[in-house]
Amino acid sequence: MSTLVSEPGELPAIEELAHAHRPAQLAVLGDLARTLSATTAVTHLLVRGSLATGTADRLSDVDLVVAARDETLPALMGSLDALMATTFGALLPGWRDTIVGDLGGAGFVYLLPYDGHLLQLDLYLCPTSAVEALRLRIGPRLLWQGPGADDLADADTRARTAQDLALAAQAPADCGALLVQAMVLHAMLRKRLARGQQYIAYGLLHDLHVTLREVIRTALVPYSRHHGWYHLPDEVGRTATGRECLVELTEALTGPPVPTVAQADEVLERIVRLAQRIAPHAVASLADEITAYRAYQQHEEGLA
Amino acid sequence: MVTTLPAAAAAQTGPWRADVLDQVARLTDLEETAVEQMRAEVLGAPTPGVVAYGEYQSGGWWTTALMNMSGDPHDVVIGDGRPRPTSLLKQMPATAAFLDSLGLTFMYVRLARLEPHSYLWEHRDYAELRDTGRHRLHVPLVTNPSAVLVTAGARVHMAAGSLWRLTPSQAHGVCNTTGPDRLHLIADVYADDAYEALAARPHLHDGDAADLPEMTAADRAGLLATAGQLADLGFTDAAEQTLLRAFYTYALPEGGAYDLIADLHTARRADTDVSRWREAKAHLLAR
Repeated sequence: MSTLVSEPGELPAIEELAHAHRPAQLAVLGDLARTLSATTAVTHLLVRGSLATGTADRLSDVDLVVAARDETLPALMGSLDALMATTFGALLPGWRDTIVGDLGGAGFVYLLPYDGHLLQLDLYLCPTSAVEALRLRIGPRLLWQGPGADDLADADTRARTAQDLALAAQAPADCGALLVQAMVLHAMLRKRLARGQQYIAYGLLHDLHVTLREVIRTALVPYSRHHGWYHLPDEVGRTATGRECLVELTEALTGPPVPTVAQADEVLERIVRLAQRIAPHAVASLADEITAYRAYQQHEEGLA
Repeated sequence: MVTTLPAAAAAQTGPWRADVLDQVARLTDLEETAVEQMRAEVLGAPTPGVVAYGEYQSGGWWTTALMNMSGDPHDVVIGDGRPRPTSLLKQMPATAAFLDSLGLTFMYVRLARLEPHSYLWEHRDYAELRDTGRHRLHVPLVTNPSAVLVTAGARVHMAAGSLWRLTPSQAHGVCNTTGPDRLHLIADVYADDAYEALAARPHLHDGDAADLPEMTAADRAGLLATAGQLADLGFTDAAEQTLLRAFYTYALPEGGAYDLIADLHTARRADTDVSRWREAKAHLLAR
């Protein structure tokens, strides 16, 4: 992957050294800024999280807010996976981030292979009309602002974009999307475990268990009228396969609330194994990605 | 270093089309120890290599010469002649011993690293070289299932542990979609008796190759719509890459991915881009 940040010219030696050893996240952020600022659809790029506060470490993710003109946001959102795959080599389609708060747009998490590692990109896409409220609420740092960034869309356009965002948020995840969710959550969980952040790890393990439940329900009861943990035995337990899946789910839930890395790995493997059985097409369509995801995690283990 | 192919291997050839087998095939299995020693040497090589043949790739294709005319490992444009070991190969005794054990007449030997998310677009090789019998051998050292060669409408994963033969004068492309890195030792050799003996039993194992599906009208329309939307947003490179990758997903007629890009630009009335991609097609496919 090439880098945006230009080669240093007459920099003092110490600055050249800093440039050469800048965190990978900054190099990726530079590439993102270069690509996304090239379209007139984007009006603002803002960075938040540890990159904005200067507290990033090797495991930190890239937190980027992309503000797009209200009228072009649906098209940009629809093109995001193709853009991230072709231009940044995203390992998986974006996971629709359900952890990030509602800031008037939609969050997506991508895993980007970079220098032998998987780097996490949290990309929050919001309409230009919502960017000021977002800035007041979370205080991100402005990275770039394009021409006409202050031109706001009319009320009808804003309403249509808000409707598109709401519809996208309601779209149910299929088993393929749930497998993507499982890998992204697992990557997040491993990072939190590596940092010793047990409370966040607890929450992410719960989210992984929810993903396991949703794989089972989506594959076996695709037209379920229930949600959450309700009516699982009634709906899923009608068949022998369903009952076996519930045994697997129960086993997963009886593990410790804050897992070890090995236990976190077991949950992901359980999800993939169950999906292989009840949603084989979903696993087949992501076979190379699953293999690669495991290889990158093994590489991290080797480094640890 | 090279194990003799057992008679039973003929049964592993499978019902593969002759055109696929003509273009890519396993020739023989290699001793695991020799492969492991070479892998260790390659992973420890002190240079990442250099980028050459930029017009053929998305970026991410790095090569380092092991045998060439100059002896410089960074001199990576292949050509005819009697090569000598580069300074890098002199630091890789297991690899040098393996090459020596083949008893072949080498034209050029190199290491090729294909990074994740990297593509060599559909092309033909050897067009610029003199007309003589030559073949390309691959020794996969580090690979993954997403690292595939596409030729004759089939997708072939060159697994580690075998010596493979590729016919690069036929249209082909290579990709490493998900990574990690793919590392191959590639030797271009002149045809002689030693090569003929080594290549006497080309074959493929079950699972080595898979036919790509034909592109339907709906597939084509969907791809062009995706690419068109990217182009409308100003992401022209991403639009073109989306269509170039169709070569790795569908069994297209030769140059079909380039034609898709020309169609995209025709619809956008971008005549300069149409001409650019028609010229690229002619150049890459040596027409």
